[in-house]
Amino acid sequence: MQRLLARLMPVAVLSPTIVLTTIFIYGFIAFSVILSFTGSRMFPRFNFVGLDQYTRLFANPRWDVAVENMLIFGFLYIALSTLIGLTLAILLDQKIRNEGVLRTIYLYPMAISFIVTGVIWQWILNPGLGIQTFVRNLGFETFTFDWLVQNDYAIYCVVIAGVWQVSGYIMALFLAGLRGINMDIVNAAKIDGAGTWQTYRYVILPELRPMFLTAFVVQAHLAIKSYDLVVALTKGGPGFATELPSTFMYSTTFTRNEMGLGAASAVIMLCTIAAIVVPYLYSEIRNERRSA
Amino acid sequence: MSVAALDPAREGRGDFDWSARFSRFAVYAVLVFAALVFLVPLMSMVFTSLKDMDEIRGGNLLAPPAEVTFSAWVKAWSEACISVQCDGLAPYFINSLLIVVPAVIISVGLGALNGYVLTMWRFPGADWVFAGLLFGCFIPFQIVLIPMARMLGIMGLAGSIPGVVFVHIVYGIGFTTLFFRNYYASVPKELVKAASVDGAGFWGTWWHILMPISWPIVTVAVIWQFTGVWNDFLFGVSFSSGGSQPVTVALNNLVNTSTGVKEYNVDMAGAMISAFPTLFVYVVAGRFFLRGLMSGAVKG
Amino acid sequence: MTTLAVENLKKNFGSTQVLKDIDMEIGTGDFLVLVGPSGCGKSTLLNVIAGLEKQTAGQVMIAGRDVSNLQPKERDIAMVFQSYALYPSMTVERNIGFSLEMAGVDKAVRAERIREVAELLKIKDLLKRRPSQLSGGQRQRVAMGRALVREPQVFLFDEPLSNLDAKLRVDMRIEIKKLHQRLGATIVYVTHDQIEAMTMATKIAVMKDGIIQQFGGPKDIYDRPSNTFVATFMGSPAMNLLSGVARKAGSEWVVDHGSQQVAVPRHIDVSALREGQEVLLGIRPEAVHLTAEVAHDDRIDQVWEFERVIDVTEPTGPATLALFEIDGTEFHASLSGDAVVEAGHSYAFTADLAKALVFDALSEQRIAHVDEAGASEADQAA
Repeated sequence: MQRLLARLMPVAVLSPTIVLTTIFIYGFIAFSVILSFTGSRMFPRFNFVGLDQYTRLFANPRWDVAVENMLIFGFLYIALSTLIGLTLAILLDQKIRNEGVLRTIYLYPMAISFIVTGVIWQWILNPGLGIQTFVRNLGFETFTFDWLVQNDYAIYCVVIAGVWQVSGYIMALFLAGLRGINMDIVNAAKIDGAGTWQTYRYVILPELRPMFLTAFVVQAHLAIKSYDLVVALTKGGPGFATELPSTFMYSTTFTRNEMGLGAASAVIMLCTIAAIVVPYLYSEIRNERRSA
Repeated sequence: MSVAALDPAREGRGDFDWSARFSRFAVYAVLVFAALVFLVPLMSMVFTSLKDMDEIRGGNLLAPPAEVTFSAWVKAWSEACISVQCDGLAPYFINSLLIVVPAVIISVGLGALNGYVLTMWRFPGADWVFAGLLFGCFIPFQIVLIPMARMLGIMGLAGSIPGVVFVHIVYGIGFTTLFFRNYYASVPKELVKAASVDGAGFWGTWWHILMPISWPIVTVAVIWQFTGVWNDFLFGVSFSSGGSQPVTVALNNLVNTSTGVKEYNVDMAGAMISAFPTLFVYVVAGRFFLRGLMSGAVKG
Repeated sequence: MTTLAVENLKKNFGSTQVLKDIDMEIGTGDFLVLVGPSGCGKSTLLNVIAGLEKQTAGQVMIAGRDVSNLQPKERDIAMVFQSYALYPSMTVERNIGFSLEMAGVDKAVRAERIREVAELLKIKDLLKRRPSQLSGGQRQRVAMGRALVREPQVFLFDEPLSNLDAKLRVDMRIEIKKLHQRLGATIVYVTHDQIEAMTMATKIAVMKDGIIQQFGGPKDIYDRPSNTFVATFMGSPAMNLLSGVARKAGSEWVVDHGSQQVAVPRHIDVSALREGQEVLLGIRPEAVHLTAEVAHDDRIDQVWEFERVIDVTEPTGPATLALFEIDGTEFHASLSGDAVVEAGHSYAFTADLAKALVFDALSEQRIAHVDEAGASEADQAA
């Protein structure tokens, strides 16, 4: 009896988590998927309409804008923060005095919320009193920087704020990768006659490949989930010029009472993230098992 | 001038040393410039929050305040109107505290136990449980918003602080479990075997053997959860209402729904107030914050 | 011909002096082993020679050229690292050819050189693999191949065998020695393993605290260590050191260590001794025999005979080690493998004094031998 209890104890301890996960993650995913096949509006109803919601979604011009913005935002966000993060990491890895202070400065934006980031950048980028006025007061009176209120450019403001926030994190990832490289390899390259550029090109950057993958997954998943930043920075506007799938889902479901359509958009988001994250997690777990 | 610079061996090699010195200077220049770019928004936020609106209209967002005034801070904290109430951010700040404390304690506690079971008491299917939890860390929460709203209604927690706490616990367990599992995976199994030979049971081993060496990862998990819950907006805006909203939601309402003239100094003071707790934690325990970020991305 | 010379070399890390005035030179085809305990500066010295670290003062000359201020790639050297330092993302082939690639050597020439080296090291079948797919011994060979392909003036080896298991280490040791004999290459080899030093070197530099304690051929270092550090560092088990006082008994000098008096060996230059000088008598374990086994061996001339109770025996196969105490000092004897001895029993021992040494207890320097009396300075210079 006692031994049976001892054997059951681990499972018993884990069971609340298993139950919660099963219901609130996987059960809810199933529920949302089911809803996306129904004509639910303000409340869930189970009148199945097949793929109608998906057809409507892809025909919806607002969703088109959201997807297009997602691609622009996602690409620039990932590309720029990788570039900046990698550059800072490489420079910081040159035996820099006060490295700790600099690192702390680069990383602090990660500690504040997207809402605060949005509020700050809304202030800096507003054409009335922000950067534009500041530069004009310096004497450049025709200087114009009003992307925040321009339909075609507002999404780039979201990119700026997002890159500002996440670059330090990417820097930290790459710096950890650089610090993990065997210094003998770098010395060997020096002796073999490789210059600084060649050493990075042929020896160090190939070693960082796992870090590029990790950084990409982290950034892609953050980009797709981005919601707060847009809400605080642009409210999705002007108009719906900075609509993202996340804001589309929210407003469709909760303010326009198109629950079925909202669920369909959420399912698309989930599938996108899953397509990126699942292979990554799979390979991580497999590597871990192999090394164990 | 140093003694080494006078060393005759160095004479005539000025070119080499100069270019090395120049590239060194360039590296520092880029790093310091980048640091300024990262700091300017924070600086501008602090300066603006200490100015009055007349000075702000002068249009120099980088200038320190000519006259320091805390009136914007006072207003943001206790007088600003958020939707219909004009009590400032203070009540919402309290809400955030009421949400964050139980959510952090419970999710970290559960995560510690889960990590312990998943590493030291492995059972068939443990890997599947972990994989399931891990994937749960990455889902876009939009996929659970609709059913969760219904479920909280059924549980009678809709629009309440306990409801928000519950949601944070449910979706926080994945990461806290990940932290503890990876940490305990590096603890030698012999330790647990030795404890069991010495007569410690399931709970005794956890409490007497593992918990005393767990404080670094407890710190990491607490800071991670604290930052995440405090900074959350989506769950707050979806599952709380009026008087139970966290400070992030209130700040957004303050900034984005104010009618009439936009008071940037109050906005900035409000942003400072709501960012303060996590920034404070970051400054005093940045090392653990960073560790959380790293293990949140890479395992081990 | 001098291939590598190091002159007045100093290296400081902050206020710590890691290398204090290093001077040495080796000729073409020499196999120099830098040996010493960890932290003695041997790896730093190698790195300075390689150009991976910059000297604080002094010069490094390679083949008559001052390379002190040159980049590693300009020094005409190749290096084999302890961790092998193979480029993980490249195939074995590209690893070996990387230095040639960087030097802009034509692809066909490169391929030919790689093929030659691969043949020499018997790694032809591995060329397409990546380092992660190789065993430790194979990686070691590739690392050597990478050095060989450059045909440099000097090869630098940084503890290259310390990551291999014992059996492989011995095999590779022989292999490296064979390569050296075959190619006549000039090698500087760092190790903390005194057996590697003894077996491979043509010249040994024993280092401690950033100073070369002794520089010389292996036999010299072993038979005539310049001080107690070198004497005890080289050889395993270590040389026994018995403390005592030098006394003149009639015309003979003895080392008086309390219970017994041992004659000062005849080869020692007694003119350097003072009455009452505190000295250490150094006797290697293999110079101690069971009296019963050597009673009729007339090759042994001057002896010290004593009886002791053995505390512990350690049969190793070819030899049996016996451990006992002499006046509170632990004493090792390396007896023949056939010796029948048992712990707890008393035996008569004979120490062959022909190879015994005497050190000054205070300075820890060896008292000169008769054949080198007055020539000690010249000896240092050589």
